[in-house]
Amino acid sequence: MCQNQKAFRKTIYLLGHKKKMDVLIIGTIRGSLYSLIAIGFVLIFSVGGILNLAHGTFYMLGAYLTFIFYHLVLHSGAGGTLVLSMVLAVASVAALACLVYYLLLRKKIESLIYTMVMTLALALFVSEIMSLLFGVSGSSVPSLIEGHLVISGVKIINHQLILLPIAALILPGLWIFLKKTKMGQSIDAVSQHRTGALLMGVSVEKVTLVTSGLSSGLAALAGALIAPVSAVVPEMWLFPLIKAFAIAILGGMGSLTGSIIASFLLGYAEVLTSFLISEQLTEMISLVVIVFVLIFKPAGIMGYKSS
Amino acid sequence: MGKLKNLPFNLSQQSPLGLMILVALGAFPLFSRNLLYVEILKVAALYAIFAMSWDILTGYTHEVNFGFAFFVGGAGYMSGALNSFLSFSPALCISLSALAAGLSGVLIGYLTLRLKGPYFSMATLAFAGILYKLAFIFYKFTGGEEGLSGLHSLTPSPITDFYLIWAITVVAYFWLIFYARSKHGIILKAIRADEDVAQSSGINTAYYKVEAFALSGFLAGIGGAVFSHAQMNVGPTMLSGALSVLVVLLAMIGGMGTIVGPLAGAIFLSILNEALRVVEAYRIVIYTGLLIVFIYLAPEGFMNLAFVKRTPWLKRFLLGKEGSHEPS
Amino acid sequence: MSLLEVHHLSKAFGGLQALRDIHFTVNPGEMLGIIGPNGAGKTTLFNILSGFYVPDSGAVLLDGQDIRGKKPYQIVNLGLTRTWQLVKPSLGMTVMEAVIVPSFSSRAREQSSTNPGQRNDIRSILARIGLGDKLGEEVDNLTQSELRLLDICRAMMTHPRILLLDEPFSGLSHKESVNVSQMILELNARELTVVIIEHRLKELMKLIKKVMVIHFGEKIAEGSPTEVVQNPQVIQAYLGERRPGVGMA
Repeated sequence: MCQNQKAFRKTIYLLGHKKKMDVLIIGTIRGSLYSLIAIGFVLIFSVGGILNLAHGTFYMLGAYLTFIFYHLVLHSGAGGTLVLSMVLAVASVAALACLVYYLLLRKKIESLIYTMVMTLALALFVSEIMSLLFGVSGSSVPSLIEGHLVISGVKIINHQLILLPIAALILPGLWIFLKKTKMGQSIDAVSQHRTGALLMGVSVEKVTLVTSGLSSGLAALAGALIAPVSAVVPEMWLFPLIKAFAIAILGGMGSLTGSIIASFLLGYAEVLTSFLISEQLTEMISLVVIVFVLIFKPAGIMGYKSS
Repeated sequence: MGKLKNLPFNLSQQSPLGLMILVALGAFPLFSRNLLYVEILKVAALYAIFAMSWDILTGYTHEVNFGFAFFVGGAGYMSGALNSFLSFSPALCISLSALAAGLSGVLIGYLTLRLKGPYFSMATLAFAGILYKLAFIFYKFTGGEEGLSGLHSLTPSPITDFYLIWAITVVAYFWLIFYARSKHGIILKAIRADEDVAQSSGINTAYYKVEAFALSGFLAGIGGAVFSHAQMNVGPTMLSGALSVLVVLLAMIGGMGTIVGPLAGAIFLSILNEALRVVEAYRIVIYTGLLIVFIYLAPEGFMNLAFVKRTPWLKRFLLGKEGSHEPS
Repeated sequence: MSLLEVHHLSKAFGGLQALRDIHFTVNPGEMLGIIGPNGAGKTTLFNILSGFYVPDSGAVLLDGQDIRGKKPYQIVNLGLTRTWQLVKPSLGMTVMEAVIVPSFSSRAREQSSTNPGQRNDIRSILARIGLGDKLGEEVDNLTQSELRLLDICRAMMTHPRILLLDEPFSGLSHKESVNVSQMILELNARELTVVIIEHRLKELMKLIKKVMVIHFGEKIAEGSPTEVVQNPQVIQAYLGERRPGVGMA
């Protein structure tokens, strides 16, 4: 342990002041983005028992639909174009997710194999549609706030900064929703103990439906927010999904707080890696996290019971 | 407890559908000289090998392997690299790659022993993802985005290529059927039903799970290595998630846990895929959409439909007859 | 020389002490009954003996060999087999397949090759227990009591020297219980050592000569059925006098 601490301190020292701020700010922005994505993923898993492999797809659709609505709304002459498109995008994705749950998943929800394969097939399907409609090169929308800031010598794109206040609003807002409102409490109840909640008269199907909408909406919001400053391509569903899963198991599959912390951990880890080692390895981190956590963590958190 | 009476080549107990498909495949080039069709069937047969070897693990344990491209692409690249850089003959490359794939099956099987359900699936996905990324990082050995090309072909002519692949498919089919109907398959089914109960029957469940993983990997490796020499190149698509998912879908739609199901699923769906080339622009979208519809209609595959189970002659035709398992 | 010895066995789950300082001995050919109110820790004991749980402290000696830490299948291959209280159906298999699995264990293979005279014919065991006509049936289609009989059959196919039966009579009709009792007596006569957990005391007391009572994880009595039934502590335990401050019902 002592050796690791020394290495860590040396790394931070070597980073230098400017880079430290870079890492801090960019890492925080990334962490906020990831937390929006991961929370929805963990929610739908703990409530519906659904490992939603189409979660990254909802994120992707948030971005693509923002693009689509932006151009539609622009031509119709309505104001507040970008914000309106984002809202519409999020709403449509939420509605779509509810439909998917209601029509395709609801009846066979007990079969994990079915939900995993179906959601994965859907992810592939949507990805191919996007490929067909928009081609493999990126699509773009303008930023909410143009330009960039310079903080402590670090150049940050303004639009990215927006993630911070939004995350800061949404996460506590979600917490309040879950603890204080009736629907939120039902969601909480079902995620802790499905049968118990059933026996208490909670409509598990309704709760799962709402959670589908909520979970996908959060992912779509992340996608919509990132659309102006990120490459919107048909493959953009895969890694957010992988990262969401890595964060979920790091933070504990049922724990929202754990996921938030893990989101930031991953965010910082990725930024550190890209600065210190190489850009290419950042994607590997989440994959390696998954492998290491699943294989080396004690049997307790995984499916295996008894011994 | 004595040997099982159910010997593998008891022809009357094999699935008529399975036999028909294999015979039809083999007979096709005798009736048609259309090289394009032969090529299509060649690819279909390779996917059948993938789907069947995927099935022996997932169909019989119900732990979903989402990282199958690890074995297929891994062996494909290894075979390609051995051929490209060391000029080993395709036969040697394929053997070594298949062995390597089998050994990685042992390794991954061992590492994932304690994982179940979503955790198992995501771990397999992650392993494949890591290999995929590594292929780009070590582009000097793998040719990066473009992959490796100019690999030696299997045999001098496309028709003999086809027959070689067909022969491998036939061998793989019977090997897997035998395995599935032997004590290995029954034990896997017992583990699938309840691993604790299997343990309390004195079965070293870990051993049989790893063994199935190794067999699955080994056969997939043969298929993958053969694939790269058949195409004479290997690229990142062979390691991609899309390949893994496609194999899963082909096997599942056919019918998990039957071996015949994945054979039929792979062959028919691959042919369907090609038939859709008439609408090339929309082909992939329509194809994937159809796969989704099929999964919705038959979540465990067409061979496992309740309707099939209830109709004795249909069940007999599709699945054949299980042996009596009577110990002698 | 005892077959099974348990010394100072303890096991806690979180704050809950499931077993405390349990000790008892089973000699070859004996039949021991274990009784006690619900939640007393009996199944936990079986789980430990069969290797599914690891005890916090204490020793479990099978034929003088310490089997703590051994995997469940290894313990079965040493001759100790258990049945399951909560029925665990082997879905997706036929009855024949479900029952033939134990014959693939190393113990069963050894036993049948070294004792050809003792070869257990699957058909006759299934017939004996009353499942003779269900050979090709899918396990999914069996009733609860048939599943229980199947489990007992499965356990016997491991050629155990000592068999732990966890509530074998639960869910069985009177006729079935009588039949199973008979079977157990026959097996015991052929030197199978048996330990039975049971709530249906009428059936149990007719079978066994030695009984142990567990309450709140502790052994509170041991002896012949008549002795134990008259033991004031036992009576108190069954009448439900709750100890203050302890959560187990």
